[in-house]
Amino acid sequence: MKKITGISLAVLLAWSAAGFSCGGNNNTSNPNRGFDIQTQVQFPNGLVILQGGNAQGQFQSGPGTSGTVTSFNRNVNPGITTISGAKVPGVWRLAFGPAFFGDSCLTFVVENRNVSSGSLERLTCPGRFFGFTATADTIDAFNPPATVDITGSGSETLYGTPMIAFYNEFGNVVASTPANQLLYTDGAVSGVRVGVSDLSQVYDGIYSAVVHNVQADGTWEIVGSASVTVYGNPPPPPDPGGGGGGCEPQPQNQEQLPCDTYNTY
Amino acid sequence: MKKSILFLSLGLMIVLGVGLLWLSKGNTTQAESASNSLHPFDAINQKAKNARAGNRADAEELVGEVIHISDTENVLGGFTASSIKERVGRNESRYRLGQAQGIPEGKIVRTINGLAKKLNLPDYARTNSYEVRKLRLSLLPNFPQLINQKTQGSQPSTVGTKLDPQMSPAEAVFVLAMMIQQKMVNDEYQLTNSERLSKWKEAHNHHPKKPKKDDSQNPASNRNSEMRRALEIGANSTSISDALQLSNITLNTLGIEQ
Repeated sequence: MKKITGISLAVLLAWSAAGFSCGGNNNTSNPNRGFDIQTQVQFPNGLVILQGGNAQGQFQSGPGTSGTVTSFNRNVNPGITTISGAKVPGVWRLAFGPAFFGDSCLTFVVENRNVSSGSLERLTCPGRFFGFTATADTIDAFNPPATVDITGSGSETLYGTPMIAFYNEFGNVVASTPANQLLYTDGAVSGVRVGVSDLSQVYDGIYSAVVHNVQADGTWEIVGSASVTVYGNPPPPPDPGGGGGGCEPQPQNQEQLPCDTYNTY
Repeated sequence: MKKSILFLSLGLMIVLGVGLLWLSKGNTTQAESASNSLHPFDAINQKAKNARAGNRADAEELVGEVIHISDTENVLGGFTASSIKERVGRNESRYRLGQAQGIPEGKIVRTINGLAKKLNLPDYARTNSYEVRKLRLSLLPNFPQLINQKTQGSQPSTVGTKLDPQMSPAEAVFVLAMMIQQKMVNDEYQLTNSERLSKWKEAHNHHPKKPKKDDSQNPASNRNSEMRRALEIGANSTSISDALQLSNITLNTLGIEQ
């Protein structure tokens, strides 16, 4: 039986990227059980990545019938960290943020949580953006700015003007344009400025502005990417008859991804 | 012998599952040394760039970064870690040299959905091509040297071209691990097909009267813990032989040649 449990854990561990407690001790009768924390970073584009960082906690109030630990402050790895012996149940003030300068967390987040024995508390900090950033990053389709600055290092003009391709949410290029000019900070290239043309035919959505350097052979090399949100021009409703069989119905007038039979696997 | 097989199996699964944890450098030791080294995101981008020429050692180093930075190596032990690095690294090198095809996005779909079916996970654990594409685009800003990198230099991206649906083996493993993470912890990805469609409509609907949201209209709000419970049940109902095979099958399904 033990062997079965152990092997089952192998399956569970496949999912431990999420910090899933692999058959962890959820025995709430254990007075030293405490509770678990899982730390993660959420980026502006919605992506969540499990990350370590600095986690802190302070018992605030509540019965606290088991455990004696009333505070902690430690740098944690990704995944589950057990706060053994934590006083529970009760309200804990929990904080999670960068463990060091340049960490993935942009800042600390602090919140009060009702914590019970064996509970899993997910702590999410806003992610420090590592890619390029666009200014403006939110554009009215019918009142766009004349230009958008995309800042980030790596652009160069050795073999040609940097090129910017705009991908829609389906990964299709909807616009492609050379940079108007390079931007400099303290004498170093810090980004590119691109002209914004007529967007009246561009639908609402989040677009990826991908900056490329032109290579000696004319090919493009990606140097960075920024997100740009366009609003004010909702697309037509998705085709209600376009799905079925596990294939995702997609909006009209936009190229569809192939209907993947794997979807029904 | 049985022990070593189990360990190997377990190790492979860990790598697939936590592969992306190389992104993380949260422990004290890492924190102390981080100020003098590249951020893991930058390190991966640098190694991905180095591996582009097809050099086997560089490719293995890229894959090794997946294992090493997350401290997964400690869990795996040397043999398992190096065998995975060798397998994926060899495939990455061959792909870069034009000797092997890329991994299509559909393989990610098939692998995730296969795992979901195998473990009897909720419908929202399944994915589709749209979601894989969405994830790759989300990863692109932070990992421009790994995502959508072709074997040769990219051709000009004119209007009408699209993100290459073929991925390098290293990107495929990366995306698979990231998708697993999203399915476990990210409400945005814990959606059924119909919910995805509804959400898409909502996100693109700018009617002045939007329906007010509450928890009952946000089925994903409790899905993190639901997934956790479903996995417990799924794992406990998996036979010994199936569990032992699953790790290899997962890599095989993804299209990583042995």
